[in-house]
Amino acid sequence: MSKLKLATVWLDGCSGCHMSFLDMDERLIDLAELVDLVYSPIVDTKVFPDYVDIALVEGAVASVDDEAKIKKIRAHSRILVAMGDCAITGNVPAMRNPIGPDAILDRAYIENASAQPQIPCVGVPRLLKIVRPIHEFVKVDVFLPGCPPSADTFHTALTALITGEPLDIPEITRFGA
Amino acid sequence: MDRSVLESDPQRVIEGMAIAAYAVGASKGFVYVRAEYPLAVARLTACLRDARRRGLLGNNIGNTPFNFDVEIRLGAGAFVCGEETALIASIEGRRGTPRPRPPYPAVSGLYGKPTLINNVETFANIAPIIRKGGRWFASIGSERSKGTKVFAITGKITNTGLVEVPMGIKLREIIEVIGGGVPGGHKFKAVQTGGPSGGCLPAEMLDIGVSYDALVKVGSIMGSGGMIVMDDTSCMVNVARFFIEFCMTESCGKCIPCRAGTAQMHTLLTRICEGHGTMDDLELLVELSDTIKNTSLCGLGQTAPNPVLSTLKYFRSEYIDHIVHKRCPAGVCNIHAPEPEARAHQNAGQEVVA
Amino acid sequence: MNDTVDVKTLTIDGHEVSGRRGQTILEVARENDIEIPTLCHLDGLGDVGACRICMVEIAGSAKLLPACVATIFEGMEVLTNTERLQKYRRNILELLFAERNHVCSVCVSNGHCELQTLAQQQGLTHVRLPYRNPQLAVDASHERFTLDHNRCILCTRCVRVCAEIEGAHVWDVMGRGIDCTIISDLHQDWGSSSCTRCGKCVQVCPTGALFDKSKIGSDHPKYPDFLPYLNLMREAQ
Repeated sequence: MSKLKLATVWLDGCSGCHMSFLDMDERLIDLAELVDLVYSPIVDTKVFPDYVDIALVEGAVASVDDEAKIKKIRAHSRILVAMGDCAITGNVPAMRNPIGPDAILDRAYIENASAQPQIPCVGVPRLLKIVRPIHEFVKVDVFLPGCPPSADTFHTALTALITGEPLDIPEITRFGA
Repeated sequence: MDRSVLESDPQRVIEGMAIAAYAVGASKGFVYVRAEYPLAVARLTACLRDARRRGLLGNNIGNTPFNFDVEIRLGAGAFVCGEETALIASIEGRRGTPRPRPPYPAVSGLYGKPTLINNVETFANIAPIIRKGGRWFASIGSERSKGTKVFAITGKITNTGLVEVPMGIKLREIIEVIGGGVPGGHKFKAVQTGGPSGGCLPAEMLDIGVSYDALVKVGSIMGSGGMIVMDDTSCMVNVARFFIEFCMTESCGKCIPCRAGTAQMHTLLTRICEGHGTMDDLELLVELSDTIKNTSLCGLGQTAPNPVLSTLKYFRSEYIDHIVHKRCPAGVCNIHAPEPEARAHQNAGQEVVA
Repeated sequence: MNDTVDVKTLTIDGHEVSGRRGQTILEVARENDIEIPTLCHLDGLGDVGACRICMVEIAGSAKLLPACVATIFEGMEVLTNTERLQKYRRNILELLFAERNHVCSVCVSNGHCELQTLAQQQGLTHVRLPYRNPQLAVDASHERFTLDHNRCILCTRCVRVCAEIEGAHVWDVMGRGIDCTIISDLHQDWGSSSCTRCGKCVQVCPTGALFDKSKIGSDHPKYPDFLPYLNLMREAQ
């Protein structure tokens, strides 16, 4: 059997899900027997491949860039997994929603700036007015809540997805876990 | 229509109440009337004063041992206070929110006492029935819905106003004959019966006889007897949104499905009206309607999805037009309203190369 | 309790059970180890039947009943966990999660929140409805406790415990529909209200809406179990 192609993606999140993924420690070696990690913040590939079997997406959709990415990822992935609470609920990135992006940008780049207060506008993506979970933009196949989902959760879920075994997600994780 | 009875013939209501009180052995009655109806309140007050003076209310009515008096309570303008348990709570001076039944008011009502609670129109019907007999009343109307019913016809119709008709009369007769049809050369599109949480019925349904059962069967209600006629200038999606908005703002907020559910339905309908809806949204709407209808605490929530369900049933193509073809057939909706998310942040930069 | 107790027999999910006249479906179910999920119900408080999570099906009736307030009758056949009920329960939970800003990961009640636990039990992994993202206040004016409206689900347990058990009736609900808000006294800061500082409301709050300032992070379990004992001891007096 040829190895499955696995991608992990980092949108508006803290990378905690990726850290937790890496916390699988020695089990990663076994995992590497079954999958090729073809795209990820932790590998060097810059372009999302034409086809991946499983895409793990961390983070909410907060900018036009995120929106374009998630649509592209969906188009090239067989199984799209919303990894962690940000991807599923908006979570911490979405906490700006009630006050809007202006207030956040002002606080970060004007009020708290020690030198040359200015809001960056060149080379950075435009923020969306509302941060939203990825399933509001594309169809999501598997929801893996948790902040972050534990290494055990990752291991159980990925094993099931790779082998095609049934997966009872509420059994292993929850919002905020 | 209850307002018109209170304003034009309050004696009839008070007489009905007194008879009912005699029947159940009550000595105290309340009329709960909206403060927004000052004329009704003034005429009721005058009527009560007059009745007391003539010995028709008070102690030893008609030189019998029967005592009965009526007090007026003003409502502060909450739709939900039409629900009997909410109305009772409001009379008691508490928040006008419904409570689960049983116990029904007949067992435990006002101040925990057995209470007979009826609509103005019901009490107004009692005196004539006592005078002419139940058989006379039952001879009017249809098999399961007896007597007459007052409808308030409004909207796109030549003759607006109140009409009293026998139960069982065809909707078509009310609208085309009594109401004089749709004016201005426009085409009849729908009629909504029963107030804001009634269903919208299309022209094909005009030949049903008006009765409690028949209206429920086709997805509407008798409700308050409101009857709003719409012509081809109305967008049914927008109409559904309008009525859900009413139910949303009038929900008391006690139970979750009605409080949060009507608000979510309003959000989804707004999306569709503005051309950002998806077919998934439509499915969600149906699912939410089902949940709200079946799990809400009182009649407000249980009937709130009616305008949406009935328009989805009879005017589904209009929803599809909004969602798929991004077009409002009646030209009512601002279908190209900018999507909220797409509104640029004013300090935003250019698109970024991923 | 007198000798002529009326015993009713009924079935719950196919199990033959019995209860006394006037008992609720929920009481009888729990006496027989049949779990019906609840949210606004709390042992020791008067029921309001508002959350609609405990709705059950009754054979022969199209109408669903809230198990916390509906009383049993002879021959009743109760179904507590049909697919239809599960769907409604998930829908209601989705409505709650979308209504206000429940950010589990940064909530003081993360790990011991009844809403969070219920979502997991009912198999809710995501919310399909658009989040409403309302802008809500946090009232930290009280010297010992904080009220965070972002996490409030309006179960009114705090209102009831304050009125029924503490007898102070500091809490109540203001507004209508989606704008309903828990307020102290006549909508003034909790800190300057007539609060007796007993903290019962904090213990009965199912989420992180009411919490103790002296606790940090998610180290904030709540202990609402004192209520039935308190009631028992009061009755004994």
